[in-house]
Amino acid sequence: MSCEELRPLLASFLTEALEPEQQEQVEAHLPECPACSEELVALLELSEGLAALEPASAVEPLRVLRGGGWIAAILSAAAILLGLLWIGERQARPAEALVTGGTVQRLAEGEVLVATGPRTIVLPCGSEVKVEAGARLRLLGRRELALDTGVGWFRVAKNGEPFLVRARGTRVRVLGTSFRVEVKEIKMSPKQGAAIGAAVIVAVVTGVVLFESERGSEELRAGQGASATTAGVITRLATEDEVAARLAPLEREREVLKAENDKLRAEQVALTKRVAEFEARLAARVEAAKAPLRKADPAPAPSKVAPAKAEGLRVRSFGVEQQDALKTVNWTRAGEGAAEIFPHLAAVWASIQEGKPIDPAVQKKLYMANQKLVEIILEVQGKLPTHAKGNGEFTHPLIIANLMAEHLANAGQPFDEAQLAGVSRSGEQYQAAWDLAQARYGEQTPLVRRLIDELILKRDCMAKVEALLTPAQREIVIFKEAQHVNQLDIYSPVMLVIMNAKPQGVSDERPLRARLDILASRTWGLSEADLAAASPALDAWARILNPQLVEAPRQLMGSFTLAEAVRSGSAQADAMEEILRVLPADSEAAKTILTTTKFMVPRKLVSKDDK
Amino acid sequence: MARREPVSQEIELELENTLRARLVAYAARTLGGHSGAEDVAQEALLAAQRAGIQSPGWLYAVTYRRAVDRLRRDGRASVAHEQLARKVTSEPSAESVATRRDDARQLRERLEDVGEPFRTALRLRYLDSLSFADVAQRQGTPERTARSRVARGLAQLRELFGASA
Repeated sequence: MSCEELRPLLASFLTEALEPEQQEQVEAHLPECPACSEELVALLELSEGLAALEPASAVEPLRVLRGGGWIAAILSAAAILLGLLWIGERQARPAEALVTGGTVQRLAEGEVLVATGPRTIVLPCGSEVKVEAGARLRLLGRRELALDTGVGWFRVAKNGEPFLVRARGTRVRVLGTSFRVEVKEIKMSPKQGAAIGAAVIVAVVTGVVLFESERGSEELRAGQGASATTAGVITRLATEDEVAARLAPLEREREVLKAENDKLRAEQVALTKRVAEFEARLAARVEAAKAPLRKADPAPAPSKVAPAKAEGLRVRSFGVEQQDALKTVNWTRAGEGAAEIFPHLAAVWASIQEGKPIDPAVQKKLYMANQKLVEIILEVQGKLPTHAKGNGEFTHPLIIANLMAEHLANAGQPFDEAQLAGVSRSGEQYQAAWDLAQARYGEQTPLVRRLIDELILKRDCMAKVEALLTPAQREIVIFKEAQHVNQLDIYSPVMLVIMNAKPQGVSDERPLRARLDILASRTWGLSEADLAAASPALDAWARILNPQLVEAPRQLMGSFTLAEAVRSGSAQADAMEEILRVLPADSEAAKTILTTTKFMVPRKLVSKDDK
Repeated sequence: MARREPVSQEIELELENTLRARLVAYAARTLGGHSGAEDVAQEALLAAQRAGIQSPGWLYAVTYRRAVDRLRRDGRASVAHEQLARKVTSEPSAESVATRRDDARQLRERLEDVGEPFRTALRLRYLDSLSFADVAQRQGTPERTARSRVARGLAQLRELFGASA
């Protein structure tokens, strides 16, 4: 029989599937043919390899290795099982252990257990080892084991004999205790490659163990742990309490940061909401602005004069709720009032500058005209947002813009559509900036800060409105000689602080710094100690303002400008915030600083002769 | 060198006249002389008894492998035997170490390429360690068919591995 004829029979020869006649032929051929013999061995090894694979079913044979790979493994597995039966008949029994968790198996002395899943090894002395999947454990004696890799939990039964666990050059000696040993292989890459070293980690649950290597030893008690490097250097691990103690301050810091973060997040949400509201309003305004333009397309309006007043307002779109607030104002009358004031301004300004009394006739006319403006104030009081007492509502850009519009229309120079749109846009921007500013304020924001912010926002808004004016319109509503002068320019936002800003003359005899001390101690009520603490802030305040002081004679002390008010108020708000940081939060002085609306506008006092 | 372990009388008697003699002859032929042939055959029989296997084919294969192993240890292995010897030596070459690492993975992959019902027969017999009788019962066939199926499965697997196995 040739090799070619015989080869297909070899597999069946191995599984005893041949007819007796074929089997005879194969048995006769093999001694003559090393090639077919090798082929037979190759088939045998394939079957051994299959037997060493883990089954797909739940039943999982224990893989016991001795030396090489799966070829050697299967040979050994067969030998060990049989060997154990003989061992049972012998007098001198070597150590053996029972392995449970997969298929129940015995682990003989010198054998290696490679756990493919969680396994429990029970030693004859009653000690127990639980290993996790991937652990490699060798039984070295009745109370001696080696953990080559992986994690093992040891519960040692006390019987007077020492119990020894070897792990990569280290030893754990115990009498009776429970502990955990982990041999962690260190690889170049976490997923592949050969191990280049191993760390041994021991943690004691109960009792005492001695963890030793060639380089040293550590006695470990319950709750303690240590690790050994490949080189055998043993390091104690921090206990839970030690870790907790170390973490405590970090934990506290985390809490503080978290609270801060939450606060900022809430602020961000509020701001985002406000921006969204503003955008929605702006979109609505754009739509509203487009509508009349489209309507006007077929027949262009012959005049650019604004259409007849709707609800009494020329400038609208600052926000519906605010427009509603202004419905009751008689704008025609208000416009007349403004128009009546302007012709007298030059005479009034001249009298003030010269320190002379104003002509009683002029004074009477101004009073009558001013009454018409006061009517506005009476109508809008409390209906528009402001931080100021007095002219807060009156100086709102919506009021000023409408008053100006009426004044201009009265003088035959009304706003055209484009100007009205521009004014409205400025108003919308003011409203958005106002909302953003309010969202930024906290409990420690002084009222003066809010007031000055309002002043700045109104200044910026009205500057934009002013930029829209034609030269002819400027002639009507701007009194150039005294624009933005306190108590004189009715269109200036400086009117806002008419009740809040306190002019203060300073001189070499009465320097600013000394004035600030008096303000802080007498008006705000700072104690002597508080005053000392506040001193750096007061110094800074004086340092900023001193070089910028405007010279003025006594009669012009109150005629400071919008720019001076902003400058002085900002410096004071800065100082107030600094001082609040050094004051006890619940002190009366702190409360006063937070709630006052009064601020100082210092000017350098000069004699009439100097001027 | 070979340990004489107690072997049950029944097996000893059954095998002595027929199979045992043939295995000794086979070993002697492979070894190129009677020296050691007895030991090799004895080791194979012992291994069969321990593994609970009575297949002559299995015994022939193990006998041949042990004979080649012995030849190699004695430094008498022929070139033809050298290839096989490397697979069973206790000091494997670098090449076979690398091969062994991939053995299980490769085997599992190639097993998937074996056709049915032979693949299931292989699984039941070797991975699940069932006897041929149990394999037959699981597959609802006579035992002889089960043995055939396992054989054909092994042959297919051998083909899949080609000459490299």
